[in-house]
Amino acid sequence: MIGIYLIGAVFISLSLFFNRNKKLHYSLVSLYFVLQCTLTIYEYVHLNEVQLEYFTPDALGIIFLVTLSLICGPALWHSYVYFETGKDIPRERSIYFAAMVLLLTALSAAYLSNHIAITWIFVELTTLSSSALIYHRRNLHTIEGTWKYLFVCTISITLVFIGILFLTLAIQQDGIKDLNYKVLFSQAPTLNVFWLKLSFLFVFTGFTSKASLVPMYTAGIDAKDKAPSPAGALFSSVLINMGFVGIFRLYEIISHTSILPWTNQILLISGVLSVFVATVYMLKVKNFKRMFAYSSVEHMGLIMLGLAAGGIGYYAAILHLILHSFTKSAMFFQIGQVYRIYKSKSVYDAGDYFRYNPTGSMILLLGFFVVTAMPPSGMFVSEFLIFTALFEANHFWLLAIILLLLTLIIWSLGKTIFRMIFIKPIGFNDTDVKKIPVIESLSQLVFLGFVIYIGVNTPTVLINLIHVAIQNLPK
Amino acid sequence: MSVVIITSIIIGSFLLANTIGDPHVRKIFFVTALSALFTGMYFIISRKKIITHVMGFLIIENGVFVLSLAVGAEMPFLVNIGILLDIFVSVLLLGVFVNKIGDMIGEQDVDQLSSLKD
Repeated sequence: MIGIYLIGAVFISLSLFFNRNKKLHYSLVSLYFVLQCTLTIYEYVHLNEVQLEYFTPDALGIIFLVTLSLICGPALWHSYVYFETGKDIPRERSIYFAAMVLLLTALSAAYLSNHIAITWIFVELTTLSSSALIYHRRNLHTIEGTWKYLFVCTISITLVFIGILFLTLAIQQDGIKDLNYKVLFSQAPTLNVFWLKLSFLFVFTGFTSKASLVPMYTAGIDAKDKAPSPAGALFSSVLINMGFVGIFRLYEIISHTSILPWTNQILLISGVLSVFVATVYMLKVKNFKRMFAYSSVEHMGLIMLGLAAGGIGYYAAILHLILHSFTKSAMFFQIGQVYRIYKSKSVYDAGDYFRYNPTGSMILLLGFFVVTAMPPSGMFVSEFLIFTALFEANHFWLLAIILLLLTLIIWSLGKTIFRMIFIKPIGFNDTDVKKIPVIESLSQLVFLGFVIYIGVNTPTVLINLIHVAIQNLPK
Repeated sequence: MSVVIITSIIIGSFLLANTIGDPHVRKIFFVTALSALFTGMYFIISRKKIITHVMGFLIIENGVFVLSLAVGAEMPFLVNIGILLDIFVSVLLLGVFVNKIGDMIGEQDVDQLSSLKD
């Protein structure tokens, strides 16, 4: 099935690229959506079955594949809305959809791959396809964003490759070495610790560019800001998951060696610094799209803390990541509508949103409560579990600092969102503001409702899947 | 100045490689790889021209190739094809965007690419 999927998706992407016909474009995109859903269902049924030698749908991969399929439908639909309401140049549209299909395909394949080099190939492919999405508006700002993203990500992915080479040294054998995750996991106790440490440092640093963590988060921020909002929604949800999966798979192997405490130190440092950097920028930033991009950095920092703390933290980290994907994509879809009304992303230009789009502003308000993890948001549950894990791991000072930083984040996010919704903007001409249909807000509402529902009543299927995904980690 | 720094990078990589006594590492390749990596990084950090940044990236990429010789890593054939294709396309895309930047802002200087900030 995965073979059919890859060939089909590449074929669809190519035909999108070479055609300029609008009807054909949208039928191809719908066909891709059907293909994606079929793959997800097929892989879910055939759990843990090796396909084409290099792909295994394990629990972790399935969780994120389902998340991707749920998000990709609304993302494609919002892209349609984006082209219907804005500039619609056939050439740009064909490149946009071809790149988006390629991005989603590469992500799905990367989640499922069971070989570290195959993961590397598909992660590199995500960089290349997302650069086409960032460049979409074709002006000086987007080319700057694209250049920075492409360059920083390519260098980071090269670092990942160096990490993979060091990993082959850690195996300490001559000849062809199998870099299958399963084989590596079974050999974990015999791996050379020195090379494994180096390897983890390189792989972790490389994947932080995808996972929006300190040190390589910078390029991702510009990318989310400059790409059209549906693409930004994908970057800040499913692409981040990709970075996490890359880090998590190596962490799983390391968790059975003697360097686990050292690795946890690295994750803690990176997590705390991410939350800190996100706080500093969120207090200062005046562009609300960038603000939500920094909010992703904060949440990824928390997830790394949960992973480093261990115990219940493993479960909480993965749950938090799933919920974060849905929340952040909903917020980015909504920001697309805000931008359509004000034609600006500055906080000073936007305001009195309640008058122009009541449904949208309700979603912004609800999204504010969900994204800052206030009850009844599902993220409250996962964040609370992460703090419990930190408390149990005796990181009291760290916890105090994190809570303080989170308070500042809630304050600055609240300030921005309430200003956008209620305070009148200065010098905004509202004569030609078009009304935004309620139906365009539906997917955001469903996502946010889903996040709340999962928090109140986590489905048993999901709990079981997460527990299977973390079963290899030490208790 | 650059000559001095790069010479010290090479000497430093020699010293570093000598501290690692691993029989699986071919030392001469390892030294070359490390110095290429650091030289590429140094090029990217110190130079202003965009095309020089791409050259720095290529130096790093060459270093990675030599490093793979040093560690004697052999990937399966399909994986190698994938890696090759990816690097090829990424360098191609970097070239395309260098040209686009050149079309837009004439002089290819990274200082002009600094409008995105908070």
